[in-house]
Amino acid sequence: MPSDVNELLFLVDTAYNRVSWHGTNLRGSIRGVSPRQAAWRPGRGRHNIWELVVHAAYWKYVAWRRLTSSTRGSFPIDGSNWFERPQDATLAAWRSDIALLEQTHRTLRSAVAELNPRDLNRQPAKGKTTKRALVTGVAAHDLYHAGQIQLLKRLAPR
Amino acid sequence: MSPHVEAIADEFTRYKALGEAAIAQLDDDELGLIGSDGGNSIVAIVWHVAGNLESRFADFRTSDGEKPWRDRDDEFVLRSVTKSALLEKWERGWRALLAAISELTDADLLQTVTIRRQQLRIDQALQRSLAHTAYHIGQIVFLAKQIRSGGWRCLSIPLGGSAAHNARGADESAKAHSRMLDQAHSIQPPPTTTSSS
Repeated sequence: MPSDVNELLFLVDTAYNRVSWHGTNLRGSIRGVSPRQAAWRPGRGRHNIWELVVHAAYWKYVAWRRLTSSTRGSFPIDGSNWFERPQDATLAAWRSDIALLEQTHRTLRSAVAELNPRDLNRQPAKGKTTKRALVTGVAAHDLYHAGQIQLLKRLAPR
Repeated sequence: MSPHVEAIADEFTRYKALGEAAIAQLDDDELGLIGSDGGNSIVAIVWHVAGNLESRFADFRTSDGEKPWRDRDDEFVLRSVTKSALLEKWERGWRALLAAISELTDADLLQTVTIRRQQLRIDQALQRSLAHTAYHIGQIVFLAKQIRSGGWRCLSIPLGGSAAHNARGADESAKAHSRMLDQAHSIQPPPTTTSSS
């Protein structure tokens, strides 16, 4: 029988980049998206695909930090939650932010893999939610925004 | 409620509250609007999410999750409904889900159920459903925001409010988020129905 930790890994992987029955996941939703599409906004003050990507990366970082109670380092972009994008509407800048998403996912995934199954129903030192709930939540968050990116792609000029 | 079941239930409840807080901001005639891309309206997505939940979780432990009475294609058919009718459909789906979850303990999660003739552990069935639901509720929120435009009331940390939010050390659990949404965007509950099928 798969362990609880393996189940949580399966959850974050299918929400992010592993093929699953529910269709497009977060990484799949941005495959082939150009910087122009990523920067397009459906209206004034609305988020674009690019900002959703960095927002998802930020919350993966926050989840990692809470799971590990780490005090080291910081998110590589100043601020929190939402980050105005693009600062530089180039393919290189878009790829760099996708790389940030990839890297925060890998780091989070490693932290999930190292969880002690006996600790899953405990809260991290400064957290108000259990480790299991934190991981469940971050996976659902990926899919919540993947659904939105799918709609943005249909509206954005190519 | 057992901790594993509770973690899943809280996350479902968060997305239920998000969907309701988005729908609450729209008028009857806005719910069926089709986007310029010809995609699904909020009505169609609600019909699909609710139809899926009701089918999966009615008689959850004892029957296949894809019920013979479910007509999936019909969920996407254009229909004109009032907000009250929409919320009645929505609640029917959620009632089936939340009733099924309320009867579970963590030990039950290792038992199996059948969905489309495939055996799945209950925890896997719940997580699949949560993934599907979160995906579509993201779309409901997106469409509602698109329709409401300037008058939109934020469903999470408002733009520019992150620093204050962080300084407060706000409770970011799913439960706290659901509570906040329920208080800020309270809606009239739909009329109670007697049948779940």
